Amino acid sequence: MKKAKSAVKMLWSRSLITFTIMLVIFAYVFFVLFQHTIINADQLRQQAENQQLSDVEVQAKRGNIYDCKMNVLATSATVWQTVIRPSAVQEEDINLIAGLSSLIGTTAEKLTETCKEKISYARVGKKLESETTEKVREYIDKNKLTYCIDLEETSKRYYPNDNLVSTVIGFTGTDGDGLEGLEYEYNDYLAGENGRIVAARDSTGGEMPFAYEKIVDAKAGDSVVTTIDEYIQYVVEKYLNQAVEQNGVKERGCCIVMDVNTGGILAMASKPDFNPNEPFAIYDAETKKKTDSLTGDAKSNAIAEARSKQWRNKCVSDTYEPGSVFKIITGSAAIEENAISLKDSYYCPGYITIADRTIHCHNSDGHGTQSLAEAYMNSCNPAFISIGQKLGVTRFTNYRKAFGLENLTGIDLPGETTSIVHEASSMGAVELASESFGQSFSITPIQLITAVSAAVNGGYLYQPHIAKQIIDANGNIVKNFEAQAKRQVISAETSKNICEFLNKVVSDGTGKNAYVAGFRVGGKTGTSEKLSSESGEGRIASFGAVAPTDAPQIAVLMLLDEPSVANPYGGTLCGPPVGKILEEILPYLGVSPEYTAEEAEKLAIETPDVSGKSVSDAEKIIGDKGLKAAVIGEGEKVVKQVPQSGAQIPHEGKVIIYTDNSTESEKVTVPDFSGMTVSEANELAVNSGLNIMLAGAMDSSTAYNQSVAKETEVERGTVITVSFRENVTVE
Amino acid sequence: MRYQNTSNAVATATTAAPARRATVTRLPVKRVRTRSKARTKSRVNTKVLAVVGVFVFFVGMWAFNLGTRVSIAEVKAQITECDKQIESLDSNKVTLEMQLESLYSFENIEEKAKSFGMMKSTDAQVKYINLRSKDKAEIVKDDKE
Repeated sequence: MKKAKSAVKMLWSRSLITFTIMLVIFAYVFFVLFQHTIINADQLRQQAENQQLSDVEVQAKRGNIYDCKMNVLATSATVWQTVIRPSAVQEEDINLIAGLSSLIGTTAEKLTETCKEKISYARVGKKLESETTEKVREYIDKNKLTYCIDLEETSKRYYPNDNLVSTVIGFTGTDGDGLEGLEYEYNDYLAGENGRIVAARDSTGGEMPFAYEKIVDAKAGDSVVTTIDEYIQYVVEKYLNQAVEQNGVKERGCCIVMDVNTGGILAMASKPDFNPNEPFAIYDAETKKKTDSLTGDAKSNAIAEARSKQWRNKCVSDTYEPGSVFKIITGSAAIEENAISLKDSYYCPGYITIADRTIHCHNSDGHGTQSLAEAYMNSCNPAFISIGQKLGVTRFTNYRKAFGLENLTGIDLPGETTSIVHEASSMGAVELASESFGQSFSITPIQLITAVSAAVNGGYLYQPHIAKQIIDANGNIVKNFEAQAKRQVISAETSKNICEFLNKVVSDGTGKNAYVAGFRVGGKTGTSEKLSSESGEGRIASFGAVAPTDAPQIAVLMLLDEPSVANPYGGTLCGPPVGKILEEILPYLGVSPEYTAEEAEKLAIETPDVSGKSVSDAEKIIGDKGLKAAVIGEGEKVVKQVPQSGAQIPHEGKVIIYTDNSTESEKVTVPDFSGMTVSEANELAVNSGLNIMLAGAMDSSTAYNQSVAKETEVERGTVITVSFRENVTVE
Repeated sequence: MRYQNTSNAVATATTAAPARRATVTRLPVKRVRTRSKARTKSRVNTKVLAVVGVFVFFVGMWAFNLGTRVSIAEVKAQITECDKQIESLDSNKVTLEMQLESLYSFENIEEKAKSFGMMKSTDAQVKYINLRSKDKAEIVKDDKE
């Protein structure tokens, strides 16, 4: 019995001890569990997520930029970027990797150097399109380089028209965000919203298919439809380029075409410019040569300066002294305020004295007595100085402000700068005098053309803008940019008078070089002294035009900063290209020509087809058209004619008809027509056996361009187009 | 069972143990019903079968689930592959469109036209007409049809 009791007691005590030990252990386990699942739950969950979940950003497709007719000016596509993990690269594979260099657009040396660096990740080579990407993938797979090389999906921006409208569109950086121009201004719309893929990954980085995955779709960027017309932009850039090259322009060339009734910009060009597909290259040959010769910091600074110059939109970011084009504004203000009447006359002795200063007219002999219209036609400085004096400082500065010349226009482009003008409080008679004819202050080209548009469109100052609409990826309109009239500055009647004066400037005044047969074109020349010029002799030649003056639709402003020619006058240098621009774009815009009798007579005649006809019949047909026939050979029928049928030759031009094949076509040498008057050029052409087509201003003008170069051998009777311009030595 | 007279029993106890009766009347034994071994075995088999059955069912469900997920993963992989191809083709399309745009640029067209001896039409070649009524087109049917 005692034994049994002690056994039971021992059993109990052992059980108790065991139970106690187990209790302690369980308590500990329970405590640890409690700690991990309750107290540290959040922290551990976060750590697990960080370790197991991968968060990959999915880039949104950037929106496009279109012109007003939905032609693509900028678009994006998916491309691939080669990435290397140098820390994982094995020594024996370096040569193999270097073999990729030509495919990915880099050198073998650079690639080898990158492989030897002690970094874990490096992007190499250029962005690759899908065709090249396939080849790279094949190379990587074939050579078992997947452990250290990969292809990362990214996007590339394309600008299909290269330099066309580059300073307006701008470009994007390596991260896809806009850096200049519209790309920068509308980046929030264009960029869209990036998506995300959050997925669970194992320790090797592979996806765990049955575990957590959450996808947030990327939202494609919206597209911008602009007011720019691609064709008008092309025409503007073509003639601006020619003007810049022919006249050796040192600083910049700018040209803007604006819809005067909406403020929409149809074209905006500034030179020098760049190719947004390769924005970081230096495009000016001379500048590139200079920067290449430098080293170190000097080189870096020079490159940065050169890039800034070519990227900058000089139509909005740089000011200039407007010169006589500003007389449009002075005259408008004075007429509106009744400070002058349309019947007033102005006497110009060749100079005017204001306070202690004598300001000379460009015509040192003076214009004599002239009406307001004649003052415009002659671009007489003393006349406009006296108009400015009659207006007075207060009214002058009020209208200067009302025309928007003291504030930013607010155009939707980055980097707009404001004008530098004399404050009303510090403006004396001399300052008023010089500002009246466009000197001693500076404004931007966009400010001036906006003001000129207001002066001719009935008096309304419109908000200039480039964007017309924002549309989403499905083509739905997200936002519309309507024409916005800020205020009416002058009355419709004053505006109509101004249009008449500008028309006379082109038809009979200093703006003849911009004359276009069949169209009522108005304009004003400008030649200003550039106060910031290093040599002190720098000039800015400009021309402002409106058309058609009976119902204005467009305004054009062109300026050439420091042309290196003997006569750097606006009428001479800018008039002809502006005239050519109008000649091409007015019919394109649906403005039909209306010829006067005189103009109709001068129109070119289409050469008739007389091949195979008898000589007498051919002569009759040619004569009926108002042309002359010259017969060469003894045959009875026409076997060949020069010019060919359909060619345009002037009234009373000569058609050479050959009557037998034995007679070889006569060759003649094209003479040099440059510097000749119209009658001299006509006579020379006839004596040389050539037909001459006259282009440009005819009266008191000289030839400056010919369609076939001098000393070229051509067939007798060939039509040579010779362009004429008046040498306008007016400021 | 009958017992002896107690007086005899007492008297006998003091002197000697009473003699046991020859016949022993046994108490009735409770009849305990027992299953046969066969029946027991059968019940055990049923239970085992049931457990196995449930186990197989769940394994089957799990396998089916797994199989479905594998199929989904395969389809997802195919979709991803197709998406990648679409991406690549889209990229190709944009690149080709841009090359086409470049070829058809106004500058190229003008240069080509000049090289073929073409020139822009002059004002004299363009005739402007005023239509009193709206534009319309008439399709002339061939009589032979």
